[in-house]
Amino acid sequence: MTDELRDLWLSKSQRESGQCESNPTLIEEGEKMLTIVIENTRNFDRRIAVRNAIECSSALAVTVLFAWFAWRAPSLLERIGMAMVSVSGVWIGFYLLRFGSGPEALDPGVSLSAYRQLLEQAYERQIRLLRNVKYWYLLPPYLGLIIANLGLWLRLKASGPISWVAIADIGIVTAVFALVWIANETFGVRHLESLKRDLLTISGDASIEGKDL
Amino acid sequence: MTGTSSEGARRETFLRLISEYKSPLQRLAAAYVREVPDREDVIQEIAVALWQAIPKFRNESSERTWLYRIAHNTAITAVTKLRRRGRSEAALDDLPEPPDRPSPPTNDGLIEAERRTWLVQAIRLLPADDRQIVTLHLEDLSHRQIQEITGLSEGAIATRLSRIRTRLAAQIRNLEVQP
Repeated sequence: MTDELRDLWLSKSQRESGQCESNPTLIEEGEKMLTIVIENTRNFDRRIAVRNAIECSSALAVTVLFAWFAWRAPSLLERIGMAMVSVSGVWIGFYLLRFGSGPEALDPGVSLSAYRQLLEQAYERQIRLLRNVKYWYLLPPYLGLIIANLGLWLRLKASGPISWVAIADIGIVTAVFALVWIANETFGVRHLESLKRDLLTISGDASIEGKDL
Repeated sequence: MTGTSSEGARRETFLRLISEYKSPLQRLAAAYVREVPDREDVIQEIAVALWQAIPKFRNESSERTWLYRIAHNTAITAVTKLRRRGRSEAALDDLPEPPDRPSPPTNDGLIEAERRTWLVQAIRLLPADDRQIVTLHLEDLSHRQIQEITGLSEGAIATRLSRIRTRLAAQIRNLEVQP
C-alpha cells in the first residue's frame, strides 16, 4: 500500500525534480522568487522600523509635552501630575521596545513539536501583555492626569466658585482610559486567543480532526 | 552546506534549494491548501523563511530534514493567515502540473491524475500532525528523519503511520466508489 501511495504521490512531479538544476526555466523562476523574497524581507524590516519609530516618537512627544506642562504648571499638585505623565511616556516607550515588539522571530528550523510550543508561548506572552495593559500602560499616565486635574480643581476652587470643568475633565480622562482598557482586555485578548486556537488546530492538536483547508 | 555569511553563497544556496526542492514543496503546499494561488502563497512564505534561515544553518541536522522542518513550520503559520483571510475554501484542485509538461491525454494519465487527486484530498482530511507524518513518509524520508523533523519518537511514528495507511486506504476507496 505504501509503495503504491508513494508512487501516486510522487508521480509526474517527481520526474521533473531530477533535472531541476539544468533547467533554465527553473533557474529563472528561482531568481524571480529570490527577488520577491528579498523585497518581502526588506518590506517587513522597514515596517518594523517604522512601527518602532512611531512608538518611540509618540513616547518622546508625550514626555516632552508633559515635561513642558509640568515646568509651566502653576501649582505643586499639577506639576507633580504632569511630571508623572511625562515620566510614564519614557516608561511606556521602554516597555513597548523591551516587551511589546510582537512575537519574536521564531526559528522555523526547530522540530515541529518544538515550534508549536514556541508559537504557543509567543501568543501567551502577547496575551499576558494585553491583560497587563492596565498596569504598565494605563495606570501611570492615568494617575498623573488625575493628580494634575485634582491640582487644577483645588486651584480653581481656591480662587472662586467650584469649576465643573475640572471634574468633567476627570470624568472624560477616566472614560477614555476605561475604553482603552476594555478594548485591550476584551477585544484584543479575544482576538489573540482566537488566533492561538486556530494555530494550534492547524499545527496538529491531536484532539482536533483534520479539516480540508 | 556550511553556515554561510556571505550574500553570494546565501543566494547560491537559496537558488539550489528552491530548484532541488521545488516539487516536494509544491506537494507539501498541496497537502495544506486546496487552491493554487494559496499554495503559491504558502511556497512564497516558505521561501522567505528559508532565506532568513540559511545563515543560521549549522549542519546539526541534514539539509533535507532542516528544510522540511522550515517548510512545515512555515506552512502552518501561512495557512493560519490564509484561514483568517477566509481563503482556501474553494473546490479541490489537483496537484500542480509542471507548466511545460502537460498530462498525456491518455486513459492511464487521467486515471492516475484522478487517483492522485483522491490521495491529496484524503491526506488533507487527516489531522495536521498525521498529515505531516504521512507526507514526510511519502517523500521517502526514513522514520529516523521523520523523528528529527517532528520531534516524535520512532515508535510513535510507526504506530501512527500504520493507522494513517488504513485510514487513507479506506478514504480513497470511498472516493473511488462515489459517482
